[in-house]
Amino acid sequence: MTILEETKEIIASILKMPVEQLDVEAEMTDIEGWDSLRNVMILSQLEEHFDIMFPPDDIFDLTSVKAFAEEIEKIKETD
Amino acid sequence: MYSYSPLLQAVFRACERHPDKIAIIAGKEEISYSLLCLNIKKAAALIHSKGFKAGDTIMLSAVKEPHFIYMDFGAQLLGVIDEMIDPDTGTEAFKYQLEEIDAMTPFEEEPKGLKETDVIEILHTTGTTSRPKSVCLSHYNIFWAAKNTSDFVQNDEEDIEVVVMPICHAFGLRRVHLTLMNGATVVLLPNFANVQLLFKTIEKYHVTTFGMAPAAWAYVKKISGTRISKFANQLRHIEFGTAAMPLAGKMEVVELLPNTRICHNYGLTESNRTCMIEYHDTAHLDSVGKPIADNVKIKSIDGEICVHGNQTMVGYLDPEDNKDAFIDGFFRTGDCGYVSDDGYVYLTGRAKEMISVGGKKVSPVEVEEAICNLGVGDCICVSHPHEMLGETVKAYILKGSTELTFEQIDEKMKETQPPYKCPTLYEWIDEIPVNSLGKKQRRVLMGK
Repeated sequence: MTILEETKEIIASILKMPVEQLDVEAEMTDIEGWDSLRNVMILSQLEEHFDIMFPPDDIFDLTSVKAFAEEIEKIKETD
Repeated sequence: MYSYSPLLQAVFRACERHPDKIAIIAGKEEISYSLLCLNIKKAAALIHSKGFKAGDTIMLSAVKEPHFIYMDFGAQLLGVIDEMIDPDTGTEAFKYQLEEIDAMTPFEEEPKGLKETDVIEILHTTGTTSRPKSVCLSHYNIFWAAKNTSDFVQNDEEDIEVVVMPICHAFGLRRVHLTLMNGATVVLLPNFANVQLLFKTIEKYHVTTFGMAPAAWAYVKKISGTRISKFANQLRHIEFGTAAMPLAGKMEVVELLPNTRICHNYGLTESNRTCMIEYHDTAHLDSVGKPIADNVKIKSIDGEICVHGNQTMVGYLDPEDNKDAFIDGFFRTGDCGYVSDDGYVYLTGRAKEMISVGGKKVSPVEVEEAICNLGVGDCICVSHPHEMLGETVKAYILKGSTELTFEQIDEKMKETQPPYKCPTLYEWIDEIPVNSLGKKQRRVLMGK
């Protein structure tokens, strides 16, 4: 599974929606149920799953599934 | 016009002053005051056409969309009581389509026989018992709730407000009411999740005011660092509410926004905004401030904070609930505290043991019942501090009272409960602490 697929799966499960319905390009505000509470869960579960820490300065730009996945790829590459 | 509803009067007067000014912005939609007032009359016509009469109750799903605002004011125009339903709860509300409002001929009559003191709004509290209470507010109450707040925070017609908090509860709803009452502009945003979008909105529309929960502040800070300080000379005021802010948080806000009026309200759904503190009043930041306005009186009766004022509810819907609700005409908040000689109100304990998870109120009793329903003999839930959410639920499970593991309980809770009601921590306990009356003593476990 690619990082994007794994990220998508984790986020879909937190949002309790079928993974195929989750639009990876959409802004979080346009995805039902993606509120701040769930965003906190998403941040912590992705950090735990990929064993990473999102740099505080980058979190601001993580506003879509794709942005999360690209950020994780970037962190993994520099590891 | 609409003499029974000072709130509605204020909105229609604002429309007379500047019909073309933008009242509401939601996504790409911009609604002028004249369109707002026309749609309020059309919504009233729709509600009327469905057979609702003055004194009837209509259940409205309080979604953060312009059509809800039309329906809210439309019902007020008719004297039909708005019962606010949290869209997240799935409770069935009155169903309508925006097109239905559009298609109506505006309701132009002035209803007769309505009074300021008529009940017009019902809000639901979370309640420390599992049964939430229904709070009845009159035209007069909801006007003064908005007016007192507006006067304290110093909102005016030039302000542009972004409403991000939910509007099914008093905090967000009054922000909408006070902004439109003043003839200012309200921008609706779904939630705080996308902080980047919040900042873009503040920039694009030159937003000057908003309300937020301390948990939302913690979230915004975590996501965006100190970026909010770039609006230091633009933001005129911020109002905090729904929970207390730690002292360090208060100092941090003032440091980042030294020129902004930072107000923090204390109140309950029943009493609306009751006290206010301004964060630059640094000598009294350990208090909840003074009564919000001259018409609000606060006294400590046997150590309990009690409130009387124009904004205090008429009563609960269920007469049973009213039995112990008032004392000498003062509403009993259930919070312990005292009023100092210089008029500041200090809270010393929370008699109502609500847990505020990211600003959402969770009743520990409700979570305990949900856990027991899974096949647990007994448990006790308390607040647990959380860096970003302010508080979360911690559950102590009575040892030997269940065969389930914490993982199994957690899994089942997540299946059946919204995420904010699910405990983030579980621990076994040998004995549930109770007092001599058998009432669970949650405070002894807090912060452990």
